[in-house]
Amino acid sequence: MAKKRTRLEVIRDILSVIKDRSGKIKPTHILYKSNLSHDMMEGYLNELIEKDFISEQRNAEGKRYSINEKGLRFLEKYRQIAEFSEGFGLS
Amino acid sequence: MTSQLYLIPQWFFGYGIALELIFAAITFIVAVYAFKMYKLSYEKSCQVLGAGFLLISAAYATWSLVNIYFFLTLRNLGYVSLDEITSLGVFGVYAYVIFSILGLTTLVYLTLKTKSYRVFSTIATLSLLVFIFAAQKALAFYFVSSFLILLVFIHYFKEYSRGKKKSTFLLMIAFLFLLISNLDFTLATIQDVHYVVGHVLSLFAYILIFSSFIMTLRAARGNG
Repeated sequence: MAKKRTRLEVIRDILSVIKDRSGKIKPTHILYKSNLSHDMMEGYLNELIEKDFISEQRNAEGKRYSINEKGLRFLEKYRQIAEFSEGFGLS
Repeated sequence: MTSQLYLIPQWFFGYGIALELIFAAITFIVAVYAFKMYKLSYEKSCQVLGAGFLLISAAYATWSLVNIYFFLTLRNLGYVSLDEITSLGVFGVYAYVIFSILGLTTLVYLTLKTKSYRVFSTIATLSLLVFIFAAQKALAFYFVSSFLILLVFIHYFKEYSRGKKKSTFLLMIAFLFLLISNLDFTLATIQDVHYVVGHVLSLFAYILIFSSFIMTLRAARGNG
């Protein structure tokens, strides 16, 4: 059985998906790639918008998400954050 | 009745102060790094951990300052009693106790994984009330802090059982050493050797905490 992902791993996966799509992605793609329930994905996306890691754009075609500077910095330093969080029992 | 806090062998006064400063430095380094991780991730847990270690660092810094003050002012360096020291000394002792209890409560609050600040304020208030109304203040303080450390130890025991991470194992053992050292400090009110043993056990604990911290830094670098 696959190991359950930690919160930080889920956040990394969502940000990586958004980054890989040149910074513009529909919620359905995120849902498919991140392997989360719709409600959980909505929760994570709202949290990431609040943290200013991603931005949401709305137009006639619906919602699109793009990654921000803080989100890119999180991905860059992910290993550092994850090792500290796991090591100190925060995950 | 005298509110005797602890007995100190005269030869150990300087060493004790040096060790307290080392504990303050280690906890301060961990706190600063936790805040740095918070600035990168905005994970509340990193911020709370940073606050907990910062308060513990402030407690040790205060303890060392209090002991320096006693060193300079007390006629008899063999024991420290609340009845013997001036109001400035009492203020220092109370500041040390408050910082310690708040720091440990912050770590316990973190391990409970709750967002309710009421949980934090309830534990902190009860712990401080026990100290304020106890006749034997030193005993009350060390028993309360031992209980809080026990809760943190249980958390790291569970975390280690779950993830089998070496750095978590070191933290688990560190908090076990801190628990034993705190229980030992309760005996420092009757025999001065326990003040030394308590410090030595705490030194082992903080070496382990620092080793765990270095291990996480190395792991992060090693994995890119």
